[in-house]
Amino acid sequence: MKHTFIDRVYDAVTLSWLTGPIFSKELRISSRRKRNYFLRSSYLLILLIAILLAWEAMVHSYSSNVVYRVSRLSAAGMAITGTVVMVQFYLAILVSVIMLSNAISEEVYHKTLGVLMSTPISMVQVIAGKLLSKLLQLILLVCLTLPILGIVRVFGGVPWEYLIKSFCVTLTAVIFVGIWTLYLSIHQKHAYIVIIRSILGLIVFFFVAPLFFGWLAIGELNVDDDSYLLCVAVTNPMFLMAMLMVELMEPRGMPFATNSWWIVHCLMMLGISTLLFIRAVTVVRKKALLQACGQLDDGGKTKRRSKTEKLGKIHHVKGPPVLWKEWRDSRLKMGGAKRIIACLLVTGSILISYAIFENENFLDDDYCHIMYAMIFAGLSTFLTAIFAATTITSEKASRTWPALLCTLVTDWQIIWGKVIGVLRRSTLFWGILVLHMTIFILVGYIHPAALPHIVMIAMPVAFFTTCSGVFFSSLFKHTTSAVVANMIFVALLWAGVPFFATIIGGIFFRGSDVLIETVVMTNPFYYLIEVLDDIAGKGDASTSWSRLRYSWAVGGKMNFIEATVLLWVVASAYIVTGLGFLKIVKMRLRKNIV
Amino acid sequence: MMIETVNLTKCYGQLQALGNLNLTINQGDIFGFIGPNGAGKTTTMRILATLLEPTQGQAFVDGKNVLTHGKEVRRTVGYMPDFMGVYDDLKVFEYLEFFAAAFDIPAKQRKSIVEGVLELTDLEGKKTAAVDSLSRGMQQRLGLARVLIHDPKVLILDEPASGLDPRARIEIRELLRELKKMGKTIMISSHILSELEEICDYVGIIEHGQLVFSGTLDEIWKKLGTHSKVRVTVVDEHKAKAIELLNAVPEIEQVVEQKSHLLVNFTDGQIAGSVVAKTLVGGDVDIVSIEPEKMKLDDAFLQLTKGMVH
Repeated sequence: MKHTFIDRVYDAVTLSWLTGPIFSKELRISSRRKRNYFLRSSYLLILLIAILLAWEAMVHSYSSNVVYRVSRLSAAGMAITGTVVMVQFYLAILVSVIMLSNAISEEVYHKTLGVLMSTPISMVQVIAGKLLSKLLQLILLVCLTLPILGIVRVFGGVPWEYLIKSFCVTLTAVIFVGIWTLYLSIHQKHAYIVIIRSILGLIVFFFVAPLFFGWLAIGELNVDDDSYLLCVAVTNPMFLMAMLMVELMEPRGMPFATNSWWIVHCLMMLGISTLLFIRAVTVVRKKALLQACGQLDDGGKTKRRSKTEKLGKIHHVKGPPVLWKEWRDSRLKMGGAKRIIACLLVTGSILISYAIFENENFLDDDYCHIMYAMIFAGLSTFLTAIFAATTITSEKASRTWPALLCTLVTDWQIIWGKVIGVLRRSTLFWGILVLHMTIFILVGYIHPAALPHIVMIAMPVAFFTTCSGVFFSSLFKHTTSAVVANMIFVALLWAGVPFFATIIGGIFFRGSDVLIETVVMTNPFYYLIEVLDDIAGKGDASTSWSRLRYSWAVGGKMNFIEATVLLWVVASAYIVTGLGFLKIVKMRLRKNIV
Repeated sequence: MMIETVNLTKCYGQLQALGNLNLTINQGDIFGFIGPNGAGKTTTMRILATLLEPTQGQAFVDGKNVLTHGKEVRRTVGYMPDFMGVYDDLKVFEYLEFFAAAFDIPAKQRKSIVEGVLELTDLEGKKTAAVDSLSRGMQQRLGLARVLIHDPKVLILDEPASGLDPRARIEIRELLRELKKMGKTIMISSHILSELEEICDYVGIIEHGQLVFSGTLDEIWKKLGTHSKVRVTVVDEHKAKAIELLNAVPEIEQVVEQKSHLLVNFTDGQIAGSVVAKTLVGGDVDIVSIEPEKMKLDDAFLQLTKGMVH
């Protein structure tokens, strides 16, 4: 069929030459997926909470005097804009990771990639169609906040330039993260593994690498601080966004002016994205060819040769079978060499950060250890939530679930096997927190009393997160849905609820902090902060055990024994709730078997 | 009786997948379960394997109710689903040993049992291979090995030969014959009806959740009247004479001339062959062959079902 001139113009305008029919297909599918609606709703809800929080912090909580409030409007405008822009930036990145986590693996897993290869659709169109359809939805979400920011701008204090700069940086970051995640999804059929790898990759690119190069450049090569920070800003969207925020709120605190550097940054991000795009097209073409020739297995891996099939030793089943299987399952699907590299990277990053902070005389400060504890505990919770949410859905996806349920293994053996397997896998990550504490107790920067308390905080968090994850895993059919649900649940419970409590408390309990104080007393991360705040740092670390005092939001000051009892009560509550989740799992274990 | 269902009904919301299904399978039989897609075969098999609860009615395996005696039924049944899932990163031996442990087989006996089923399914050479690296045919064999691991009395196999090449299908068929000799009761569903015809003692045809027919293959042919048809081939010169002679026989309803032979329809199938032979020999007609008209299971299936699916 010949294309008329009008057809060609239409194609050019709608970009269909670039995306082909994949773009419209993806948009159609997206509109039918419940999880997309859920993601968008969560995105908007979190943004709304951020706006309310900023308003509450900057205007509402100060005074009921109208004149005073009006005088604060300009500061509120800046705070609201800055908060919305920053929250939006991180949320957009997270949503793009989730949305693109199964972009290509879906085609590989459903064996449609080989079919696409036999049509006139090019691989460029496949990748561009997938990428742009998801990015379009995300950009629309980002654009939704523009009217709000426009209205807030009326308060004064927020230059247009800031909005344009932050919008462009967000956009290019989202494009880069989208292509990065899409590229990872070519090699892995499980979306949750793509999500973990993508986020870990971003942490390495934008947090670990700048730290390492900073230590190398400033510490070893005597590079000027400001020059290095400028280099980081040009290559790192997270840092550039932080700098733009500083520029907005406190222009004098800036080590350098962003001027036109943000344009260089955006162009660079687009350039890297283009290179990744080209690489993705090449790799996908290879995969498609392999699948079309029947050389790709169901998981998207190249079929193994018989020689490699016969390698390796047989491990005999010992103890309860489900526990044995879960115990040996690494879940991150990393081979020996990759695992060693990952361990070296993590250890190296931690050691470098210690070296940097030691140089700055920050290691003996309690805030330093609060920061470390929050990062380690946050990451461990995040990984535990992911591992737990995959336990049953991965069996459903690989269709091994009916075979397992037909055996004599009891429901409780299955459930406890899964729970213990997750706890065993996450022990490594929680171990980093405990190891950090132990090292600095030995060094004398943290009081030894912190160790049992940290264990008493970490243990119920890990158990509770595991139980909720197993619950969501039994509830959903798809692993990605279960993982996202568990992550959102945990985030809402330990971050969202305190935020809500702050807002509601500010509005309905003016002058009283009773609501937020009650809420934080149920939050294990609050205890983590308080314990370290009270007994970490060079000064507090040498206090005698009898003189140790913990100040909580409710209940005043407590000694070591009282604090321990309180922590046991909170831990027990989480453990009992976790057991409640497991009971529900038991009741619905044999329902909706695939 | 090894398997029995009494008014078995299963509804998924508004959709009725099974409606008052009554089925019996005797010990040591191979029972072929046939039906169009969505007829309720897999639902029936899943209920018998204790994976689904019926909405109404009862199902028994070896006299035990699947609802109230789930554990005993699971010990008796080996269920192989239509799509066999495998665990990543497990080797063939480990995979089978895992299921051996899951069926409470003592650790000391596991090795010999696993090696036994590997030998039976001809997978000995693959015991250290990763299960996800096996071909489809090998994975189906591994699935069979898995269901045999606890030596169940009953095997419920949902489409065990789907997606297999002809050689693998023949191998599976031979294996099933071997298992029948070992005294197993086998319930098998398949879309390849010619294969079921060769191995099954009994056949059940299900459509729209209802059992359309259940019985031996002979009973099918009787029901469809295929025994009362005889295919007669005579030398070409005697064809007209043979038609004339046969039309004169009162037991014969109709003689249809076909390209190379005559198709003779009888009112009573029992005497068909001998009447034809006597009549033609008496009329001095040179006979090439006389054989009952064979009907294939595929044709029987088409006649018995109306193509109704959910």
